Amino acid sequence: MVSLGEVKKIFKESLIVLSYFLTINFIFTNAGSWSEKLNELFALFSFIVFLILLFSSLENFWEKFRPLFFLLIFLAFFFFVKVEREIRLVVLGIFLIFIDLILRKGGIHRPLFSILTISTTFFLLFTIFIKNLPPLWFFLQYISQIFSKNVAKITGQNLLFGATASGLYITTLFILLLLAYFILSEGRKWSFFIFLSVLTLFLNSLYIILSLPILSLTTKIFKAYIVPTDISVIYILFLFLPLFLLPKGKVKVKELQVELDKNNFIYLFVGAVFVFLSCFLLNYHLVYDKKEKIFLFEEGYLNWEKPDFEKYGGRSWGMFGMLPEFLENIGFEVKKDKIINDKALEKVKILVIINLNKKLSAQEKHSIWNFVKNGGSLLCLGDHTGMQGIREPFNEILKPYGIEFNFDCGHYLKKRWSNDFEFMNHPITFNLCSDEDTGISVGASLKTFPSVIPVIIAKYGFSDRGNPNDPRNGYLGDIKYTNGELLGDIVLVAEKKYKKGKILVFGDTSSFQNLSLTKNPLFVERVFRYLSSQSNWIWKNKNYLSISIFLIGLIIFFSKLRNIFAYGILLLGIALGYQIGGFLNKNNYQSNILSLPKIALIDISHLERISLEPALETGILGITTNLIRNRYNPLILRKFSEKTLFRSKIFISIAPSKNFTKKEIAGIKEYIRKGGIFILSVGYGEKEGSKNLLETFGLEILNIPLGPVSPNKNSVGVQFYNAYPINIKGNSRIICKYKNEDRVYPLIVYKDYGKGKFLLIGDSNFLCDSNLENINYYLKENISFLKMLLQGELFK
Amino acid sequence: MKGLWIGVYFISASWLFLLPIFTPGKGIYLIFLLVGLFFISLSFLKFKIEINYSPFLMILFLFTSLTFFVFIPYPFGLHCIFLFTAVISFLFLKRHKIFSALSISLFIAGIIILIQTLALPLYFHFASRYHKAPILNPFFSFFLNLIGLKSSFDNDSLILQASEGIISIITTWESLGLYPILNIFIGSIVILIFFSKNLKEKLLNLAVILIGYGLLRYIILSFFVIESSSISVFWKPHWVILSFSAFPFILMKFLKFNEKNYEITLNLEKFKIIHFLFLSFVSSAVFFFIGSIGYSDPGEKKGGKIMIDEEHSNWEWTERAYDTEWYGEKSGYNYYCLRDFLNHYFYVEINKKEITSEILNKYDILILKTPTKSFSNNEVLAIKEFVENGGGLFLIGDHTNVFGMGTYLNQIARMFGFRFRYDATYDLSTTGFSLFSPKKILSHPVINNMPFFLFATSCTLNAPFFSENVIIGYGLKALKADYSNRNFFPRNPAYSTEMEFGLFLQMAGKKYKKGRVLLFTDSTCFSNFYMFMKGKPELILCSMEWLNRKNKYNFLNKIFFMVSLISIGLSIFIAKKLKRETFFSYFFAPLFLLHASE
Repeated sequence: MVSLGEVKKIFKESLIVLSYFLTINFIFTNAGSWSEKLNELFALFSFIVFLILLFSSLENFWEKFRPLFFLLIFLAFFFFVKVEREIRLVVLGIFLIFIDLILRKGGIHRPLFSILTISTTFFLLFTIFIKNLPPLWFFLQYISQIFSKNVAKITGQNLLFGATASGLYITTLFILLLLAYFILSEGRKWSFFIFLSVLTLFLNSLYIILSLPILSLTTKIFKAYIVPTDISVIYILFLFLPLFLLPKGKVKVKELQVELDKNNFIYLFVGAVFVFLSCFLLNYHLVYDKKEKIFLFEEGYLNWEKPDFEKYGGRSWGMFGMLPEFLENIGFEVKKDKIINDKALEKVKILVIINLNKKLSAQEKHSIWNFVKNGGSLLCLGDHTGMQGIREPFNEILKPYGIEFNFDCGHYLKKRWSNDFEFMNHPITFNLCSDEDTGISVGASLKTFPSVIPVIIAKYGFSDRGNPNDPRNGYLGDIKYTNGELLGDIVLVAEKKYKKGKILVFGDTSSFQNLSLTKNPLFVERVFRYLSSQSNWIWKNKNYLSISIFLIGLIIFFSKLRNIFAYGILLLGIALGYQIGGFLNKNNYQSNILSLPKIALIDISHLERISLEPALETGILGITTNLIRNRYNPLILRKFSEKTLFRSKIFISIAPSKNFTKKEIAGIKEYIRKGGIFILSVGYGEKEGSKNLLETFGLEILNIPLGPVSPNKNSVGVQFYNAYPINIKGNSRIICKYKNEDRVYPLIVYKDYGKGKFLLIGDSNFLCDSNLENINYYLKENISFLKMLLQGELFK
Repeated sequence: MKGLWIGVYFISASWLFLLPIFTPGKGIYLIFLLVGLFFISLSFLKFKIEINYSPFLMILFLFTSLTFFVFIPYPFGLHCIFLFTAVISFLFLKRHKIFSALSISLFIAGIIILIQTLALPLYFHFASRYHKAPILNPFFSFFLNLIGLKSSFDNDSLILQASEGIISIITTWESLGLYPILNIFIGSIVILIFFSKNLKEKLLNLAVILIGYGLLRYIILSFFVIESSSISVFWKPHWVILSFSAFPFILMKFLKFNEKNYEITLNLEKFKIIHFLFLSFVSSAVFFFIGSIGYSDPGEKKGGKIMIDEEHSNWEWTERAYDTEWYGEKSGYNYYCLRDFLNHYFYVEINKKEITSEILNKYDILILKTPTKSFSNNEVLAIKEFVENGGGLFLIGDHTNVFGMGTYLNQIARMFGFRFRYDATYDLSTTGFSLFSPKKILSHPVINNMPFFLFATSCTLNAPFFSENVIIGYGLKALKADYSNRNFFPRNPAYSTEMEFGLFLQMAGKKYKKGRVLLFTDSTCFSNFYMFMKGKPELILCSMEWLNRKNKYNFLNKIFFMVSLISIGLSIFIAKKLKRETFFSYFFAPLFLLHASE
């Protein structure tokens, strides 16, 4: 019989491991489709719980090392520092080693630290392998889909889960944790390890079966919108059982050694060099500066229009009209043609086919295949549910390469893509901060084969089956997750390296469309730069080579793995390799985006009250369209820098909520003095964030709400959304006045400063979609006014 | 004794469900009180409990608790059940260890609930007047930026970068969790007074932990606000309770009890003068405190001559009859029925001239409804003088400063310390019209005969601390006027994050010198199409009745409040002289007995 005290002890021990495991899963974003920050917060919580449980289980430790504990809690805020998850794991591993060593010095021995150090290393290896070895990723997805489908069948359910949704990633990590236990156990009872692994798989099956009932119960309790993948965390709680049963195996666990034999130094050093080199190679991507010739195939379900003064609202901003100009401006040579043949593809490096809706002839297809075989790059941009018949023609071209467009729509589970993507280690994805940076919206998901690299995966998304009976709605399905649809780990972008060439396929065209180029030009530039590269055999197989070197390093380490320092060095080697590789990538890559002519910056770095989402009142689709109409190149400014500012012609800030710093104001003054035009649109309620700026230019917004001033109540005949008068101190020119009975107020004014202008509009929404142009409507008078403004006529 | 903190947590949490401060009350959550009781009982299982009582005191307990349970409306009398059951188990089951523990737990829980109940009027008074806590915004913004969230702040709001754009949230006492914090604080103080030495130090620790926890909680919840673009985590009871769930564990860690002494002795036998004095002062404190809130000067009745001002109002007209010959907005949004109705009880005339003292002197009550035109300085002074001399002033406004009526009414209201806010209220849960049911205890005379009241989107009032709460609307959200929209209604009241929520003054009053002022925030409620719905005639008649009186004993409330403060001071002074054991025994008695003053 086990005493109550022992049960309590086991319970506590299991909780410690579980909280650590939970931390790891939040770092891996395995425990639900939460935003990046929320995942970090949950990771931090789990880690704090881990620390509290851990230290409270150490007698006397609390009294002796209390300041250390608080220091550790403080250090835990490292969770909020933006680094790659690999680095986070390394820091965790080093942290565990550090604590272990301190405790040992104080005479406290806890083998648990050794177990967690080893498992952290295993987790790290797993994440490196999965991000760099597509066949491994493919294998896990395949197993997961078969597993979830068959398990669900038992209860008559129809489920198809990717590895994230099924919990298979969690299971794999947990089995690695168990493995760490058994590596350190005396006598290594493998039968018990196998028993626990089977139990874990059983719990995984149970979770799959119960996932939908748990989901409906959770939704009921919290009365909140919870998506199926949000309950993964409950599966992690299931894993308390095998942890609780662990002591039943009566396995005595040893600690990792501290003493280091001097003769082993050489092994450690060589191993570390191998690991460092491999990680450096994995994370380092060649920078391609050569600007090659791009062939844009004109045919397909697309248009090459740009916004102009002929049409407004609706879809007047066109689809791909800006792309050729954009590519030329950043240094590529571009040609457009309707004919594809060997001759047309001569001297071409990149062939772009968009929404191909007509089957190509055998000759055309052969020309494309030959083109790729001889080193050409093929970029295929498709869309959801094979709308307008684009699926079959594409699938025919892609057949030799093992990529296929599905008849579906790869859709997000929540309101939009938000921290749902998994970026594989690839030259086009390095340094991407968020899903938003890709500009990917909803498109088809891709069916891939093991030799294909899944470049961007919607870890939290689902494959919404198309509806063949609804051509009017582009064959879209119900846009709701329905049982039987693939949940999680949907491939959105895939690449195949074929002979000398490469094929990159996007299930969605959004990233390359006119308006998207203002938000994610860097991503588009990187795609074309990558496709223009001519890589040799080594660079083509860089990942496999690196992993091989890595494995050699590991083998060298393995002989010394009983030593705690070996783990420390291994972890540091990985971190250094990764960081240096990443650092060089960042520094070597020189973007040409700022060489675009007539740049108009739309600032969001001061938390302007605007939205990048379409169809919202505070959207900027209208202003973007109008800037393009007036031959500007609008760019979203996410981070304020003087360098960027001085490359632009116009700077637009709409109702900023964050004050401009003194340094920024000095930069802005210099910018205007040199001829820049600064446009600020702000009303009284939102004026706090532009207070400094307004004071600098001697302007003030008055608290007299004039509401939506109509065209007949102001001097230039434009519509205002929510106007406030401007109080002018010193010399200013009034562009627009409010006139009603005996009251006259300035609403739009500007100040000359050097060669440039500072223009103020007393309305926070004047330049927003609700007051300019949107999918559903447009205000012609405001568009004309903006034309005069942007073309400088109002300043004459 | 760790269970005590969990017990306090559950008891405090139950109030969020029992009172409709944020969402409608749900009786099923009484179970939280039982869970709290369970955890408190667990803490006492190890204790040897000895209870010595005087039968007289016990019978008095039984009698009063039973009586008050009958007379005090639910859920304000819940403590009576706990105390009653505690006495019963003292008397009959004290020999059983479990029941002794239960008895003492019932007492502790009963006292916590009682004090939490007593704090309610104070909370309602404060929370209906003060919402915003902008002083904390710079701190929150700094901290959120530090951990990588993009944030800023302006006068009222904390601005956060969410995935779909910028969202603003108003930092309010409600979103900071003031109500649960207050309840937990009360419960914890009771526990500390009973069971802890170094009371001062522990109280200080408790306060620091609560403040720290409250601030950290707000920061953490901001993550969820960004995730969901909704601030429901601040007011949906499940989320609020969940957000405080770590709190008892923190208290367990940082406010430990000395558990070496496993004995509790309750001596309710010997009754000395010092005990009597202590009881008397606590009784007096409670009695006068409740009196300061509950007493309303009946005043001296006047002649009942009402003047409705039409000169400054181009809305809710009063002249043309509501009949079958007239349709549309002007006939519906019209006070003809109101005027006609009042004429049956009072003498009503309308004014179409500049308001002067000469005109006002002829009347007892002045109704200024929905002004759409500014008042001159002379008019404002004349109205003020009218009230000073004993006149009754009824100000009727509406949502979002529509037609500028908030601006114009505030010319007058500010003379008495009030302000019509430029906002609109909605039911917090549904974003529909809000329904008010007066509580059956300590309600204002104006709403004493009103069964319930359906609003049609009111504004809210800023009122001075020493003014009378007539209608404190609950479960409301208040959104700022949007001048870009028709009638300045907020555009997306269901989805907006920039709002205040909880309790709001929808009708308030003040006795000013000899006269009285009453302010009402929803003019539509007396429109022809609404006027004869249940609640409206009762409210308007009682309002006129209240205004038709000159103040006589207006000063009494303030005196009651002062006496209450003095009594609290004296009770604390004596409490320090009492031995801990006897203090423990007698502490709850006066609170319990003197609840009678309700």
